[in-house]
Amino acid sequence: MRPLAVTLALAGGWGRAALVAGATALVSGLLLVAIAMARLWEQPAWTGDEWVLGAVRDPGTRPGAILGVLVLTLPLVLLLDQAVRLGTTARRRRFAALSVAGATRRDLRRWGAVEVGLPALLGGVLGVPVWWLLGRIHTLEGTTLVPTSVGPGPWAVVAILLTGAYGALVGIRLGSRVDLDVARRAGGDRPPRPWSALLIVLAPALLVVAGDSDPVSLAMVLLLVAGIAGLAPWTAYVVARAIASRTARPALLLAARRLQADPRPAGRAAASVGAVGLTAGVLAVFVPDVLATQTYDEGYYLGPALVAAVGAAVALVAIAVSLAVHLTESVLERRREMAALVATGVPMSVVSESQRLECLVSTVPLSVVGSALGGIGYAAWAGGDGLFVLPAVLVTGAACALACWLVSLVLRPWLLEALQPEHLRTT
Amino acid sequence: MSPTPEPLLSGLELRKSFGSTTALNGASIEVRAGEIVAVTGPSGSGKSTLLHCLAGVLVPEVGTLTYRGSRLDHLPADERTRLRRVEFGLVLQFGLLVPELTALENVALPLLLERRRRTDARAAAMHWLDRLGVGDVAQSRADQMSGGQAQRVAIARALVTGPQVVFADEPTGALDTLTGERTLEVLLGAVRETGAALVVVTHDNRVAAHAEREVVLRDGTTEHAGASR
Repeated sequence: MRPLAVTLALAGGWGRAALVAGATALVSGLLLVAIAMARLWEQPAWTGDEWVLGAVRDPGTRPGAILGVLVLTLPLVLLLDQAVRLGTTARRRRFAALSVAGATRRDLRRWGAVEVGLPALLGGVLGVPVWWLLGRIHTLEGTTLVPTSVGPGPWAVVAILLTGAYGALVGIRLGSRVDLDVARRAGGDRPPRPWSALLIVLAPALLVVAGDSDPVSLAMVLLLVAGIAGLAPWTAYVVARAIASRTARPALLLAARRLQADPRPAGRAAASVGAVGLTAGVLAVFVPDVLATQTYDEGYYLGPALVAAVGAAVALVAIAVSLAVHLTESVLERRREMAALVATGVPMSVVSESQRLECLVSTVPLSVVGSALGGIGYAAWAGGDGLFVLPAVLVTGAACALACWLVSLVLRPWLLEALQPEHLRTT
Repeated sequence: MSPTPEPLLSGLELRKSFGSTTALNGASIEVRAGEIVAVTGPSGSGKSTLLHCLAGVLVPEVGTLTYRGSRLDHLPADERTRLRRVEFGLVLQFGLLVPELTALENVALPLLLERRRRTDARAAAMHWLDRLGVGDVAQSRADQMSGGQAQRVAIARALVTGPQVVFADEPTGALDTLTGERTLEVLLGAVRETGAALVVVTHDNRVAAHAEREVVLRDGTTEHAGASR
């Protein structure tokens, strides 16, 4: 007979377990890449076996490359977070029923840890093939993105256990948040606050106080990324509130009020849009500068720039998947209200448009802030030309709009199902 | 003796199934302009399904649905949606307002969908909220209101476009006796004032007693259709 913990874990559905394992596998794979890069310092100064990208091979730029890989894990960790939250209402009901039946808080925490920790641990192990596959990718110059002369070694076990432990911790948190009031009132939480803006202010202050050096630059980038990502729910809330108080467009009103009532999930899903914008803004200054000043070493600089651009695009895909997961969950949880909307004469097209607009409102302002901050900040710091910052802002915004359009396409079958009149009778 | 007026809305020999469950099995109903009709019957008799068919939310598999002499069941989904917004008003159990919108926005929404100016839509919505005695919760969200208040706001939403027929599905089902009676008074007063017909699905004999006619369903078929019993 299957243990109760495993039975309960599977009650959450295979889809969610697969998404958790998939997101964890990517996070784990990237962590292994970062570890392998860091272990290059253990190698002799030059090894003939090493065909990795110049920016990784060069000890001067290697910390930046490692930071780039770690920043790329951010949208994936947020996707993992979103995947864990799938089926929250059903899980609350299930845990509340178990609690009524005599399960203790400790039991619930244990089951929560198993429910998320098992697929997360599996994902951690699957990170090894992800790392191996990433090592097979070559740039146009024939170099690899992952070190060839050294792997993550025994540190791989640490990375796998860390990702599994993270999953278990999230699961324990799920089990701790069970209450018998399963019908949580929308918007019951306090509005988000812009405290993380302090990190953005702290970044240039650090430069002034500690002086310009590689560790300070890396810390500055980390502060900026964390600051912008942390601002996501507040930005979504403020923009949504401003729109809702002015618009006469029903779809926009529905989207804005929904986002204002519960800005955190969408904000979390879209948080790394700021980091993508930041990358686009920096590249908009960096690339024209390289093309204007370098004659023979263009490839050395443009290769990493291309990798960063591809990384930003991959991050955008992860964000789009994360938003699709959040919006699908939101639609499924509110089937009755959605069906009532259509029953009372709101066209399906308006409901569908409101989903797309919710995605746009939570991503586009953040992408604009991120790319403007990245472009202007980098131009001021490195003394580059800011001519292409505005096009970068527009392109990043357009990429977000395209991602939202794709998300709404993916979401459509679930939305159409949720709007069926049969749901008027379900609770 | 004056001849009986033509029905405004009628459903004849309606059949509707959900999977292997037959909800309606030949039910019929007629509604005349300004008339109050109660649809009663035991749980699972098909009352709500009949109401949803009459309102154009569901399309029956068999039978004819006619509104103002035209086949309602032959209309495309978009036109039925617009009909529900402009010609019909729907009051559902628990109100089922959009939880994130304020009361004022919930009531103004059908007018905004009809491309009315924002200020006009809000003024009309406020007028109805005041008229139904819930003007003081205009800026409250649906999840910040009591059940009775939410139901009154739902009635305001149903009436704001000046509908010809109002459909109410167990409008007092989720309310305590006193609040239910008050809400019913408000609903009946408002439809009488506007001249709209009212089709109300109910378990409650006191609600049915206010109707001019009663249609009793059992196992998806019409058991009785006539003067309120």
